[in-house]
Amino acid sequence: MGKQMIRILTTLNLLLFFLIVPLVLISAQLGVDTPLSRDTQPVFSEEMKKQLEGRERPTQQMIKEGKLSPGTWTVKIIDNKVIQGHNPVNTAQPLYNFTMNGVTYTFDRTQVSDPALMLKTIVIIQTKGTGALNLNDPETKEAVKQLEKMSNGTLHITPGPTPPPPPPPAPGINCVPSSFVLNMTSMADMGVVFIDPNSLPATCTVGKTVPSTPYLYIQNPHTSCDDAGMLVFAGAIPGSTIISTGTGFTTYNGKCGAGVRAVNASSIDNEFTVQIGSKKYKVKFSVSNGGLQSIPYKHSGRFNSITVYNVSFTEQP
Amino acid sequence: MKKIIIITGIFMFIALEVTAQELRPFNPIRTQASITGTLLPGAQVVEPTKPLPDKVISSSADTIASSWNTLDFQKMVSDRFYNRSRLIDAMNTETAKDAKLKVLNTHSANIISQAIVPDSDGGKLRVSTVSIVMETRAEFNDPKQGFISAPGTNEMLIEVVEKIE
Repeated sequence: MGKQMIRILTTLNLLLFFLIVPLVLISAQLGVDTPLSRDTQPVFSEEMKKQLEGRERPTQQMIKEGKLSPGTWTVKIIDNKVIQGHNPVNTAQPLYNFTMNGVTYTFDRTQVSDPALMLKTIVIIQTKGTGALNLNDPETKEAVKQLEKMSNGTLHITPGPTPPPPPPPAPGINCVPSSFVLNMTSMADMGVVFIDPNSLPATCTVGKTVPSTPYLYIQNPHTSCDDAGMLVFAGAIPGSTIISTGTGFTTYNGKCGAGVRAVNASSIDNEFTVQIGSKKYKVKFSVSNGGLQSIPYKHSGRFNSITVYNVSFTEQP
Repeated sequence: MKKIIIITGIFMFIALEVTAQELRPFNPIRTQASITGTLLPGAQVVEPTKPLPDKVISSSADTIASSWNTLDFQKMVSDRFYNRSRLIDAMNTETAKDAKLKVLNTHSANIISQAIVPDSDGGKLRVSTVSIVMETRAEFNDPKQGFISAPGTNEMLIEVVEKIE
């Protein structure tokens, strides 16, 4: 038993000896290494080395320009680790979305080669777009192609939400079938067709006194006027301003006034633009005139009538 | 018998030591030669590091905060900053125009590494990589939510380059 134990132990010793001795020798070779502290780790990346070699460092430039002299220093942020809360150098939000002219653009801006150039191209598209992306326009097409190229394939252009259709034009109003008889027995009794655009659709009234709110008026001239029966005066009372006149308008200069806006007594689709408050309207109207009454003739004693019809107001941008 | 047991014990003790030595080659061991091999010719690692003046750290924090969300901020971001252009872009497009950053506290500043680097004019630069733990607060007005105050604590790694000669 004792001899067997001695044999086993001897074998074990021999095995350990032959295995371990080579390892001891190898480790002895390795033992020349000296572990160094953290502060002696390499501090320059390959990129920094290149900058130093190529003299591209801003610091070098500052030295050349005399902005950095012995005793001065510059600071640059290399990295940031959020411990908690807000990160002032956050580069999150890699996806960039925006909708323009009814088109939504989505791209991963981390892949964009030149964000500044991309934004410039987007501006070109914006200025070329009028309500929708016009891919028939060669410049827009080229700009979109450029965007796609710059986004490295991450740009997606999809139609955005359809813009709401413009409000339908206000329906025209007719001041007929009533034919407003203007009793011209006296100047004070002169009737005028007033058109009230304050609540569209507009309404027509016949009055004798000027209302206080902004109204447009169409009236027969007094029978003593040069062109009585030939022209109808049109204008806006204080509170509304006629900006421009268009089709059908002429300017009356004569016995009853100078620079009066007038249209032919029998004319259709006369146009002018009026501003009431902050809104502008294009007004279109047709008019017919009953003509002068022949008997009895006196300056203030004749009956006349006008009919105003197809009056429409269209709000202007 | 006793001799055999003692000899066996000695060999077992040696075997344990050898096992520990044998594992070392699996980890790269930093040597002076490996460090100097990555540095520019003439660059010297400073050890122990020389402390920076107090004003450098405090001024750095203030400069970063005052230039934040301005055009000058991009000058404060190193080319080594990961995705630098994306940060500048995000700041131009995502940050509220009136947003300001205030430094509430600078908790600690440690010099991670330091080296003397020759510059092209024959002078010398001391380049220090410093870790600063800053407590900040961003303030801005949101059109929907009103005044926003966003506090945060960040460990910022900055590079301080000093002209020493």
